[in-house]
Amino acid sequence: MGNDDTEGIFAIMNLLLVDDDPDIRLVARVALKRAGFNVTAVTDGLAALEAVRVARPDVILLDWMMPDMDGPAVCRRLKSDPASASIPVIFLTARSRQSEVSGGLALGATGYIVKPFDALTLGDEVRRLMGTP
Amino acid sequence: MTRFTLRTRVTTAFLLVILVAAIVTALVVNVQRDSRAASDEEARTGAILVQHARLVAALTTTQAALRGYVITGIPDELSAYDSQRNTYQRLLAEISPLVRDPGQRGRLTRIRSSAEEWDRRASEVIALRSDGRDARALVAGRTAPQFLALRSELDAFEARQRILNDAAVQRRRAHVEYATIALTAVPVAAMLGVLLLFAATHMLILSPLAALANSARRVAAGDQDAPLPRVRNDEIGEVVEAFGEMRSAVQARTADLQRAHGELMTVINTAPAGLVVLNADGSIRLQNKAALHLLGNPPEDVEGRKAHWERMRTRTVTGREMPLEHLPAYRALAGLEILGEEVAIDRPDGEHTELLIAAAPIRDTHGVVTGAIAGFQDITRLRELDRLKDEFVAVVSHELRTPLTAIRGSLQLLLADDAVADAEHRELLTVASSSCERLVRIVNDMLDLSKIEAGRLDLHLAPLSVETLVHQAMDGIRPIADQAGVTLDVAITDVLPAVRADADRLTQALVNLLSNAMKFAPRGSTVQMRAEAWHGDVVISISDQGPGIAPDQLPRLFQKFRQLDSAGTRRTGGTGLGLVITKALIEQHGGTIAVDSVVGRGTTFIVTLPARDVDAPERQAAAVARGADYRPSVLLVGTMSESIAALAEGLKAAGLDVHQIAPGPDALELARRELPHAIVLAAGTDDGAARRFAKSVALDDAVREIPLIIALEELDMPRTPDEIEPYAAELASRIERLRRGRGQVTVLVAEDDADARMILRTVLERSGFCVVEAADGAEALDVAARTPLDAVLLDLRMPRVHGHDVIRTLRRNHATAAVPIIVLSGSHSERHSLYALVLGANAFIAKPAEPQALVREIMRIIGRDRVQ
Repeated sequence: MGNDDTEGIFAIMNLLLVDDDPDIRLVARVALKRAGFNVTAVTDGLAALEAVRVARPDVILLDWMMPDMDGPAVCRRLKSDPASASIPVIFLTARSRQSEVSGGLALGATGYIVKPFDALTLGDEVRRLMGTP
Repeated sequence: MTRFTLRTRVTTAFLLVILVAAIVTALVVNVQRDSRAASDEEARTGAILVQHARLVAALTTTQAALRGYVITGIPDELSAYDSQRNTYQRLLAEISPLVRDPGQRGRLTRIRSSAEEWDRRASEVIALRSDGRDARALVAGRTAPQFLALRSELDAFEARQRILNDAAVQRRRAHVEYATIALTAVPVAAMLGVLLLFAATHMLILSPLAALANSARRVAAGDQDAPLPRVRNDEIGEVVEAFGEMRSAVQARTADLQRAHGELMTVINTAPAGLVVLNADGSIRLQNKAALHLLGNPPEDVEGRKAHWERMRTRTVTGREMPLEHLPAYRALAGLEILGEEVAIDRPDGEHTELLIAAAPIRDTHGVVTGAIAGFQDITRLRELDRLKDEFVAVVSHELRTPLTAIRGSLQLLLADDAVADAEHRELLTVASSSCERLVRIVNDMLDLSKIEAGRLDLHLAPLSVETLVHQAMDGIRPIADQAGVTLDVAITDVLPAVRADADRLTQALVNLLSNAMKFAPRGSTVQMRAEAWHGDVVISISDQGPGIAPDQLPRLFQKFRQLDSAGTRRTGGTGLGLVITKALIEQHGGTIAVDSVVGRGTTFIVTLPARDVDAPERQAAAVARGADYRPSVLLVGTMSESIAALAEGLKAAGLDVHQIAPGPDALELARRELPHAIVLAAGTDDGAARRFAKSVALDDAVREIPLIIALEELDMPRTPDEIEPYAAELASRIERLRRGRGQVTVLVAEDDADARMILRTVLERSGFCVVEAADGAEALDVAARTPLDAVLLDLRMPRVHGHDVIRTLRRNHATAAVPIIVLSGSHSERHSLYALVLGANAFIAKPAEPQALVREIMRIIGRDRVQ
């Protein structure tokens, strides 16, 4: 994986992927790994909070709809904790209703990616939303 | 059945009275006559008594004279005797005709014979005495007893005559009394006659009429069983009978009406749709059961109902608050017909109902709105189902997205990886991938459509440059175009005004149209995208050189899941929703989309978007300036010469807009184009060209209404420079007078923008029209109802009542059905203007209207109508 190395130490980011759907987790993990992310994937909100506490990721990709604790709730918890408030959160949502999108942004999310996402450009999209080239 | 007519009865009564009068008169006359006869009788018997007394006196004297003579023998005594004897004999003769009583007549005869006997004896005595013998004994023995006998006869006569006289006196007195009574009877009888007549009139006419009137009044007051007067056998009886028949007929008809009304009410009440009839003041005249049910059973009493209504909250189906008075039923009272409008109602009882309401005004024979009828239907469940469907589509689409994401991502990653080297495998994966892409598009389109249909598509409108939009769309489609070997061509013809739009959504629409064109564009052909400004709108057209669409297929073009089957379609995986979404998106932007296709040549989609009114103030200012510059125009027709040139200058100086041209077809053409207020034809006396021109003007429908002033060169045309100015001024004032003659032409300017209205008024008034204004649709209808109009200039987008509804109402109304309507089509779309034409408008003019064009259009339309 020489390519990854040449893209530099700066490019490697720890990404926490939160999605209840194992297929999505798999596809997104593969796509993001290829894009040079160091991906940790969890299946629900509580696990996500735990993962954030244990290993501070550089960015969190958060599914909107999940059982038990949904994306917005996770986001609210993360943003209310000073320790995790500065971590960019990007919502992954199958909905594209304006109200949800703006609702997500109001919670302090950095951006959103609508499903079905393009696996080939998912990494680029995350970087674009984070403002890093 | 014989009738004793009133005439017979009244005549009988009169005859009766006359008869009584006659009898009374005869009676009186008779009594008078009897009275007179009794009087005469009394006089006669009295006269007999007098004569009798005189007779007795004469007899006594005679006897005395006889005795004296016998005793004395003196001849004087004898002559006394003779004279007395003559007297009593005369009296005796006189009394005889007076006596009529048979008894008395007998007595009189006996008296007469007694008297003769006495006289004979007296004569013997006298004869004896005359012989000188003593006849005293004879007197005592012969005449005296006879005299006594005579006297007793006379006494008997007298006694009897006195009785008779007393009887006559009694009779006369009785008759006088009768006469008095009879005379008194006359006025009494007259009074009785009058009383009789009055009684007859009252009994025969007045009383039955009063009774009939009384019955009629009771029937009118609703007492159908009021007793009728007894039917009598005369005319009044006939009237009573006729009245009875009429009452029965009215009762029968009332019963019919009540039955029909009952049936109708049953029908209305069993109808599942709500029905409310309003009075002109908005109060409820009638409502059926369904209406009561749907509106939450408003109380019966007026106050309660009012309160009920006031607690009702109405909203449009998209959730916008709607004042109660905007309900279709109330708008119908303003004269509008509402074909169907969905309204959400929160009832006072907390129920939520969604209604589809149709409403129409009720008019009397004069066209005045006297009420309104509203029919409505509960569409709560329908709307609910619709919402469920939308929700279902959204959820399904959403649920599809997650597996699609996984499939799509996996395929993409596999294909991006070189791990799959086998060509066949790669091909299979490619097919799977492109099918998945198509599925993604379908899901996206379905979601979009469900949002659009649910009215939940939020547009983020901002002023956008059309150039940028066009280029963005082109950039989006370029990879596909390159792949398909199709050339893209962009043509932006004008400096385009900005449009107010949602950048993403409008780009999506344009990309949809471009990708649609791409589907049909043959390899090597060109897809062109043009953008231009047109009447304040922006028109974007996208043309391909594909196979085109058959006319019968065109209507299906914008229907859901209706991909047109046509040969040569490149199956690039359309969803069948693209055009539907595109149309919806463009319409959400206030625009229109149209399609123009020629089979074998290609298809062009034309999108018209309203330009953002950023430069409206400038344009209006320009129009004001043009309006101020507007002058009456004249066409001066004459072969160019010094005098014509001078006249043209003079007319210009007099404030006219002058076009000068030589007579001929060009002149006519110019007249048709400019439609000046007047044509001045300078002509010589033997000027063939001028004559032909005048004739051609008279024969041309477009210009024949324009006043033609002929200036004869020999007579009228000024010769010297100082003649020109007064002549031109005179001509100008004549043209002005002719122009003012158009004052009979009244034009309604219905425009909500006060500035625009002012400009139009100025332009039209300068042009000699009489202008009435309306600031909104309702006012326009109001003015149109009151003022006879020759033309209407109508803005479409107006508050209260939309221009379309104004046209509809005007066209439906008899008085205004034929009034020319010119639609001022503003910055909004052509679609509205075209629809206005469909509704019955005669023409449309783009705003801001050129004054000349406006006047020309009005004159053209009015003139054409006049010709017809």
